[in-house]
Amino acid sequence: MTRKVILTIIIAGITLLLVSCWGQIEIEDQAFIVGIALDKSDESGKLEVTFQIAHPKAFMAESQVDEPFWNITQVSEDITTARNELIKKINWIPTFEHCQILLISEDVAKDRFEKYLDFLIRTFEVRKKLQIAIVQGKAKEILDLKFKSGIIPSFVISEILNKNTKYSFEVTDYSHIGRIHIALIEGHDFILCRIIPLKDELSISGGAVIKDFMLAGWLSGEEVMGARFLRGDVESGFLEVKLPPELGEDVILRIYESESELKPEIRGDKLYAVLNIRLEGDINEITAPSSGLNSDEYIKKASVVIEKNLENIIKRTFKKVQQEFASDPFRIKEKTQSYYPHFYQANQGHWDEIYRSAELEISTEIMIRRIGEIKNRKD
Amino acid sequence: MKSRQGITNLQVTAIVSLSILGIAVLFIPSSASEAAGIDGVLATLFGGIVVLVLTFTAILLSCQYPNHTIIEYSQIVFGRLLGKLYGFYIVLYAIATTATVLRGFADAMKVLLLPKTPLEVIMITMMLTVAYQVQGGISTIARINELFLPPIIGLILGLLLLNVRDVEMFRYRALLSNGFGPILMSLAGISTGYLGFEIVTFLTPFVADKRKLLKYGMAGTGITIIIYTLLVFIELGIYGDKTIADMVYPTVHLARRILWVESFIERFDIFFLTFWILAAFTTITSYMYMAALSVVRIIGLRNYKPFVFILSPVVYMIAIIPQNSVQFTVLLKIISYAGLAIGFSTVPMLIISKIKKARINND
Amino acid sequence: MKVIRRKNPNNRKTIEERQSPKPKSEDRVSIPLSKDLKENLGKFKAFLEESADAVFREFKLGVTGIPCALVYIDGLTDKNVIHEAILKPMMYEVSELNQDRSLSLDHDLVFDFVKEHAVTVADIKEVECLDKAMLFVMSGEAVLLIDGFDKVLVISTRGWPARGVNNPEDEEVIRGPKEGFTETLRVNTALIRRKCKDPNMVIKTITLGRRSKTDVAYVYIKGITREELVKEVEERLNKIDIDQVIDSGQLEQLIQDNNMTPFPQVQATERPDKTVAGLLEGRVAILVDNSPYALIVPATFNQFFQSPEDYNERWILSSFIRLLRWISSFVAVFTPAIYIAILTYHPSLIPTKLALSISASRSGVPFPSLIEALLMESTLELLRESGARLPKAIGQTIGIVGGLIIGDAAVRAGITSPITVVIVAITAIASFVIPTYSTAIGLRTMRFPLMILAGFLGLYGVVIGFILLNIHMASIKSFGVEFMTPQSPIIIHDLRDFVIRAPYMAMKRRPVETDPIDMIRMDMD
Repeated sequence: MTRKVILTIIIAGITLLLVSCWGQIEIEDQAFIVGIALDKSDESGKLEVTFQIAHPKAFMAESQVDEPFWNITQVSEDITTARNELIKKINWIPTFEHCQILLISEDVAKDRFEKYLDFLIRTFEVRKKLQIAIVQGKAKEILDLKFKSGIIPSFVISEILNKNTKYSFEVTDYSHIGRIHIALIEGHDFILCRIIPLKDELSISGGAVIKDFMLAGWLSGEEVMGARFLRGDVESGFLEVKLPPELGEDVILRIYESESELKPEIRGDKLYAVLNIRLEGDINEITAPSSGLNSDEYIKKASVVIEKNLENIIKRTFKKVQQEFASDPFRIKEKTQSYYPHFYQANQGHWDEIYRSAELEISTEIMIRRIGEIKNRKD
Repeated sequence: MKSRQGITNLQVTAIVSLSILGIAVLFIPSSASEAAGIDGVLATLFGGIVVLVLTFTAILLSCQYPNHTIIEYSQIVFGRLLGKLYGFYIVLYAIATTATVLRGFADAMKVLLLPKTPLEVIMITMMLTVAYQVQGGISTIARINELFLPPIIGLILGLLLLNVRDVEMFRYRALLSNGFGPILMSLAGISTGYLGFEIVTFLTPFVADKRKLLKYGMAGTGITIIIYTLLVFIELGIYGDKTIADMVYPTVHLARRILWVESFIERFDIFFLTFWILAAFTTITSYMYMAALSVVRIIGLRNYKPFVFILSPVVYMIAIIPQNSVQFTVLLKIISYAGLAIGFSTVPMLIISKIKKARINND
Repeated sequence: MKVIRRKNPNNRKTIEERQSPKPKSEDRVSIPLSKDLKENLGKFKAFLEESADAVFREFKLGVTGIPCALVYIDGLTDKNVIHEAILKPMMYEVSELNQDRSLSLDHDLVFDFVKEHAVTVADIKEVECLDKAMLFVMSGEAVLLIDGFDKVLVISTRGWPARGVNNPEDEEVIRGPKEGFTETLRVNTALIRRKCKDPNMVIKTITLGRRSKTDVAYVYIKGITREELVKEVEERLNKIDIDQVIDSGQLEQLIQDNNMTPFPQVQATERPDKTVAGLLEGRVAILVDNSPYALIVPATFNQFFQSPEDYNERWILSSFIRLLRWISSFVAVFTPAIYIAILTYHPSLIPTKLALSISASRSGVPFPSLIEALLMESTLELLRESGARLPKAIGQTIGIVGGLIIGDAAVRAGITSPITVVIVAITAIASFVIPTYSTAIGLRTMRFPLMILAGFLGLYGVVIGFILLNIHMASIKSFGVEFMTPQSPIIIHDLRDFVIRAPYMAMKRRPVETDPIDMIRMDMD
């Protein structure tokens, strides 16, 4: 019995001594890439890949670092090759495990860019929280910006993208790798965030319509809102509406609950997209409150106007995307596949025509619950 | 101390369900989707019901011969020669399955958790642990399975709960749009994901209270049916059938997409995988136990413990045969159908044994 | 070649003498006694004459002039009893009695007369063999020899310097009795009887240890404890054939099921209330003379996480504290391993900002995390062990000094990183939450192999270690009860005293694990 134990211990000991530690990389030997930017390079067929590496001391309480991050640019065919070349240049091992954002400039997005995204879903290294955005300009410049509210641009941008979708309708929330994965396989279109570099700052507003993994066009902030309602991905935000003077001119509503559902309907041979919207909110600001503000009548009248306003925005967006871009980021195709599988299978060949001639029907319901703490500002 | 000798019924449930929950749980949504599209959900459910029926017959059959394992009573049912052949078949199946599950586990580890560690090291460490467990006897195996059942089930249910609100119900509008055809065609394939239940044919001699064995054994399979069906339902609801069919490890993706736990655990999939190692471990030990016990009983000896150490290198040799993941899938298919054949064979065996008993009673 | 070293011819003789078989100690005692006082006395003196503390008091019985002798060991006896209850009555009061009661002091009846009328002690026995009488003398009794009789009287005169009943230091409890066992067996049995006055409680004694002849008592409650358990305990105790039984700790190792595990399978406690609680659950308690630790068998892993104050406080709080203990034990064992695994294999598991901070704080450290963690943990064990040997005040200071100052200095010198110090400190504190010292040590030693596994195989190694630990623990049995009850095998009824402590209304039956005969303990009508 004791012999068995001794033998086991000896064998285990020898085995341990013979082996070396394989996958072990000390954490201080790793370079954490927190942001990637893709720009078109002058050399044909190649990209300028910029990696943003965070300096470890950037987040420590006491230390003050001059350069909390640095950006390294490589010219190569794709991101993985760029990383491999980076290994030859620095003494740390770069890893994507904490990568926060991937910025793609519009030049790169104009051609099919899905090949650059393959490694993001094929390996386990990258987190699903990685955000992707299209930059209307040079993506590298975004990574060079200095923010007052944060030390490292990648973090700031990813936090904006994360949090702002809850507060604004004008930013799309379709930016995580997880969602784009589905698009990659199923081949449907989607809308990514648009970042506009300005002098010394940036603006995240509007979106980029991606069809077949190519940039089809831009949407303004308002149009993104319309698109979100169409897709059914709305949460909360602020709604600004122009009302006729007797109803108070400009009104900003704070919407805290919203639901929208798009269902396809086939009547005869034509495809109808039926959209039902329901919103709940309070009045946040009125330019010229009228005397009848605190009345049922006012709310009814205002609601009608606001609903009409919203529907117009949505109709405009739909038309633009449907006709100009000929793209379907609202998943009408998927929904038709599910709701009317036989119809879809029969008409698969000329689906594009059917989609182009689809009509949108909207019914909106807005409930203005409260008007705020004051009624009128004047008599 | 207590008058009970042998494993309790709760332990039987644990052993059965954890033998089934092994590597299949990682990719069953994608096999279901490949086979039947969005109807994969129903295919999983019906496949489970088929297996439930097979568990039922297997337990009834085993209870006919309460002190024998399948090796022995197959000789009674089929006659000596045919029974021995059948026994050899089971021996080969058990050894091959242990190797396959081991290899599948090590492959998954290499892709998902430890990319730089050599495959051999992963397999050898797992083999040693399995050998240690099996040579502790069925009582140790039973206790470990019982210990691990709550955390594993809890983890999977937690995973499902965290993802349930992202299910898009519109994908299920197309359910049964092509009728039952695709479901029936895919049943055989899906049922193989439930393999592991055949361990009951080896457990009967060691169970303390055989009267409730049927209930608890079927409960083991039942738990797995619920888990698999919910899993496939949620996966297909979130990703849709095309994307799932394209994934190699869909369940891990489900774990990875959990985003709001971020402040504490950034990569829930790694957390999930560490628990999943326990599930794979229990499956491998069940099959290893089957292998050692069946070898010993075929030969006619009593003590299977030394055979564990003899079989381990054999299992390892088989496990390194597939050169890449494609060959591995072929191996997996072969042993899956072999195991399903064993499961289906319990039905005629049950009928034959009932006839024989009736004849003996009549004489 | 010349022989360099001359062998001393005298050596051989000494060696031979030493090695020649000497008669066994027991053989020196010739068992039967004779009727002659001088001869009997001679037999006692054969052993005890050389010891200065053995006293041979020869005297005559009253007026009859019959020679008597009293043999006792000075220091082990209460001399007052000898003065007042033996010598005084026998030396002169007997004569008065004789005259008063006109009882004849016939020579043949003297022995019974003395036993029944003269010696006024509470406990008296008749013994006919020398070895038994010898044992009594060595235990502190006085042996009375009367000329003309081949039997002797053993008179209870025990009394020796002993520690009083104190607070058990290692098992302090905030609310509950503060009595602890002492080194005297009789005091301990008395303390147990105090807590449970059931006449069904049986205390049996055997003598173990050929030379030490230690009294060992085992206690159980008839009607609750299973007969098989008592028999098993008896068998194991009787199998012991050893020189000396020093302490219950040694006895524990001689009767436990599994020697190759760091986990205890027997509960050792200084508290009588814990002992009695165990008895009432159907366990057997073993008390060893000269040891303040009582052993309770069978023991399960769950019990090592229980403390008497769990039952004396409200159940919600107790449940919370129990949960804390279980979590702490997990933390104490796995934290360093998980830390190493995450840092070196899976840094994606921690939030990015934390990962960056850790990376920064480790940038100056020369060692890889595995070595650094092993170093720090070993240092901690050193500090802990040294603190235990020193007197109380200094020991605590060393702990604080070692922890804070040395740790801080090590960080500044660049030998280790602050995060490692934090991890090691958390581990240490977590391990002190476990109420039983022996379990805490057992679990602590598990840390090291786990750290090595984590260093080589990352989280996979940690899981393998976890599995191995579970297999090991699940295969231990303690007197027929599986060690990991009620987790495995799951006994649903016993789960109410496992991580939580159910309110008393829910604990009407005794735990099933010891299979007691009488199950109901509350609301019995």
